[in-house]
Amino acid sequence: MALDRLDAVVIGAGVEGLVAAAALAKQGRAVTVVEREGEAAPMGEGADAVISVAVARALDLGGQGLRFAAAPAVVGIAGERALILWPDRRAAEAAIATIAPRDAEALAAFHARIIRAAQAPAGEQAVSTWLTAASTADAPPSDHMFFRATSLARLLDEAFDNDLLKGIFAQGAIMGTGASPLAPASGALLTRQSLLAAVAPDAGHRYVAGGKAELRRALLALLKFYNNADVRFSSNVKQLAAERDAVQAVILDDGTTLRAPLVISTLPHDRHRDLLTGLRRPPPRDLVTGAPVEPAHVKLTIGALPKLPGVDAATLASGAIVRLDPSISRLSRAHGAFRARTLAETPCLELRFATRTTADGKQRWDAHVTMPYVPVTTTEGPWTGARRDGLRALCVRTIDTVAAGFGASIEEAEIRHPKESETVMDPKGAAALTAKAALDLTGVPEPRAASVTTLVKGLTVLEPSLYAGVGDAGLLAAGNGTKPRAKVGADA
Amino acid sequence: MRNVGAATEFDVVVIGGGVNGLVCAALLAQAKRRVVVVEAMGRTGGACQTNDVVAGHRVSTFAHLIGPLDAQVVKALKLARHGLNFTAKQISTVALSPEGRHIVLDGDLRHTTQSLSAHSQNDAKAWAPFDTRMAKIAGQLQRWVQTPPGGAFEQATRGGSLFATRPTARAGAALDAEFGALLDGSIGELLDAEFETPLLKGAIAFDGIVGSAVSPRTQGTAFVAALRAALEAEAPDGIVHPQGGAGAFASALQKAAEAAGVSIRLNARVTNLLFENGRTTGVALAGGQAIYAPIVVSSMNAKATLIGLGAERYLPLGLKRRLSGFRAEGCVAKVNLALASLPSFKGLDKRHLKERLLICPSIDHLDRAFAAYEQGTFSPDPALEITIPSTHDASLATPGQHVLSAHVLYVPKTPAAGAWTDATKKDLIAAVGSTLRQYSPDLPELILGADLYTPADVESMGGTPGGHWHGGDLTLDQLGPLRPMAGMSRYGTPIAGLFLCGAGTHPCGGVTGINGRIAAEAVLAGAPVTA
Repeated sequence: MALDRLDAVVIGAGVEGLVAAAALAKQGRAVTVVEREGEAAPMGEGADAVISVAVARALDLGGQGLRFAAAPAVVGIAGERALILWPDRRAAEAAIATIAPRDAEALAAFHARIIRAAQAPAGEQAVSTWLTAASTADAPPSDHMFFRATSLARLLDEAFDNDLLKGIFAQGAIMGTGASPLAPASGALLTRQSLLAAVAPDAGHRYVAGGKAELRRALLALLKFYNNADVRFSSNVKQLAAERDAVQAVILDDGTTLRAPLVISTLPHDRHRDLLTGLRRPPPRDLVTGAPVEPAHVKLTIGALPKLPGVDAATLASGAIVRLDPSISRLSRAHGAFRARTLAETPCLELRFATRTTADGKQRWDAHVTMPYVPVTTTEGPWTGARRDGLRALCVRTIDTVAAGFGASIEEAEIRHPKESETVMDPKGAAALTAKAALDLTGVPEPRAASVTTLVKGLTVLEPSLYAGVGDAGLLAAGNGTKPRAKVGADA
Repeated sequence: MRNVGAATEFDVVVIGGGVNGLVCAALLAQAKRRVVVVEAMGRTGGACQTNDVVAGHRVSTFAHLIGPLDAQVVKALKLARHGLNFTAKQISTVALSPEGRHIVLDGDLRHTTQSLSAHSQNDAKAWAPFDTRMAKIAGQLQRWVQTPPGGAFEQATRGGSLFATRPTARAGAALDAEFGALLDGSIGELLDAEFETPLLKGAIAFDGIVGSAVSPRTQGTAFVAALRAALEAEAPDGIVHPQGGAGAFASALQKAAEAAGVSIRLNARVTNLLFENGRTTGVALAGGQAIYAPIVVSSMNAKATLIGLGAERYLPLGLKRRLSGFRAEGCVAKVNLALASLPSFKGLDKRHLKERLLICPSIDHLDRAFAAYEQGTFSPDPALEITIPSTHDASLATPGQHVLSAHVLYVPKTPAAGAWTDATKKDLIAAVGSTLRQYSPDLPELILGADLYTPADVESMGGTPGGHWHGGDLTLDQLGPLRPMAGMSRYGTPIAGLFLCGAGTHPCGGVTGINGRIAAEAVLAGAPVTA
């Protein structure tokens, strides 16, 4: 394929980038994906993917062997007791009934309430305007406005009595954000597609069997199938070259120049200011937004599944998500530690187990440990060796309190995030954060659909939304890549 | 057993003799209702009290600034005739700087711009347009804070208005879309977009959170700052200090109520409400006595009233749960100091000592204090709102000596380490002392005595349930038609005959009297049971 005849360059071989590239390739356009990392999946394994059914159909991912799956079971462990929320509602109700009969009866109504709130027309009215409108009290209650005004804790308190059940929901909703479950407006987090797909699989988004790793495999396979598409791994972008106020080419570290009339980027917004050259003025600051608050991710390899109270091995082996002592008050304390740029003494961990066979033919289990509320930089500085070891030790200690002897059985440990080589944000960077980004890091992300922005002519930046499904932004960028500020409903 | 409809001694029982209870009772009595106020403590006033720190040093125990008072309440109760005398009016805010470069926020453009220019020329220039915009927002909210949320004002007053004239509504009913979007965000976000001086941003951010368990980076705090601006916009005297402190204000209110014919019973704790056929018929007091009346008005918050006083069994489960979600746990402590002489603050003109002095050097400072609160403790460097009322009210201290009063943010009602002890209270007083030292190095040496009231103390001493300044957090989900909850925002409750009048109702807490006034209007109008 001739490099000078590209129609589009996609920066980043994450799922959104691959979806964008696949959609363009399907339209017959010559497209190249450039990715800084190597071909081995970076963080994919162990992570769920909730994909819009529309994306899966548009790209015929089924043809690449991709299958929808039921949502994983979610387990909460408190003391000697476990509560398992099976994806099947009746089974979940039966489990809840053993510890809180009244809550079992409330589950269906709670699900229905979330679905209604999520599917309410995404009006542009501000909560403040709604609160002060003369007719508000006389109009039928606008529950979706209440979701945008209130906290997760309050919505859960209204629905249930049982603290373990409330904690399971709260921890799922805050994951990937810097929001406290007690913060006003955090109620909207319940309308995330990742949560909705679990309670309403026919509402347009589905879990993918095998998660992000499998989705990535299917997308890469699809791109290989198109001879007008190419993926270049280990290729770092050095420059986005603009001429006459339009981006014309992507220049890589090795000097390769990829000329294309359209560049679709999945990099964080602020990175583009450093990469763009040849512009008379840089893109406006107000487009700079913060990154999502990535939870810490530690992989611990063990020989056999640990014994956890109330959960059998088959459930763990099925990929169930296990939350250790989830509770709103513990989450709130951990959030306080996060704001103080430290780690909570008793973090709120999430565990998942996956099996694999090693090169020497032995079966091994990987425990994927996820810890929310990890500050981008600690009070003592960025995440370097000793601090990362401390984080891993904290995870192990916490698991040991539920599964005695777990720590002693660990054969290998790997901290995947926070990364040492690539400081997510150094202290200088944190100080330079714009107000918007500071809010993104500590507040509730605005409930909105995935969107794409034309930052500079010829450069489209994907803005995946926490509330949308995987692939929504990618498909949108490929479809409307040249149209500025196009948006699509999260439930499209 | 009494018959419903049988003659009773009173038409209305008001639970709680705090500001709003007294205002409501007095206005109802003026409208020829026979009213009794039952107060659990040995004196009226609720959060408005004055006590001794040490002999010869008196200070407002809890609330230390009065206002903005509702103009209609001031007019109707003729408080001046009942002994109310202000020693300071239009009290403004000075943001204290440790280096002495204080910022004066007194509504005078020149003063503010001048003090700001020592920090940043950009901010000095940006102040006027910001001030104008906030005034415009306040104007849009003014009518809203004065009237019951949702629905037309007339609806609440139909069938027996207290006042012949309508409230002085100037602007439209709702915020326009642009301001609405702005106020949905955090006060931190709003200020970061406008200014660069941390001290200025810290001081204004303080008004977005005062009393609520939220950070200045919490959504909706911009709305709360605007709400306060709207309340202040209409009060002719602004924030005031009554001679003799907050307790003197409460006595004037009590005298006005008694002059209107209200009976007041002290040391009368209500244990539960009385019901017949699903409606309330009065209250039962500790000790077994009952007071019957067809209407009961409670100045406690909705949760404390309905769930705490035995109405629970008349409420559907869903409503009970909604009520129990109402957040009303106090997070502000009060420290009162008796001082041997007048402290000096670096670079602060003496005439400014009568103002509201804020120690809140930045948004991040406040945010860090909130982070400590979230973890169940308090910051070693808390944010303070200080008054030194003895600078203008000689009745409070022996000549030459002084009293200082400080609200302390944020302080948990129950620390994570367990209930408050003498030792942990000492730690908090020490933290306040060392914070003050940074601004007034000689101050700690002048302390003759110190009192600390944690939110738990405020509650147990009859301040408010939960020890919360505002009878409940001021957050987007607890304001307007959602205060205390959807369907109960118009001062009535699902129990026939039972009304709410306290700080936990629209518009918010603070010593304004608005809640008591609108509640009285709702009672007289026989307001619909639910909205």
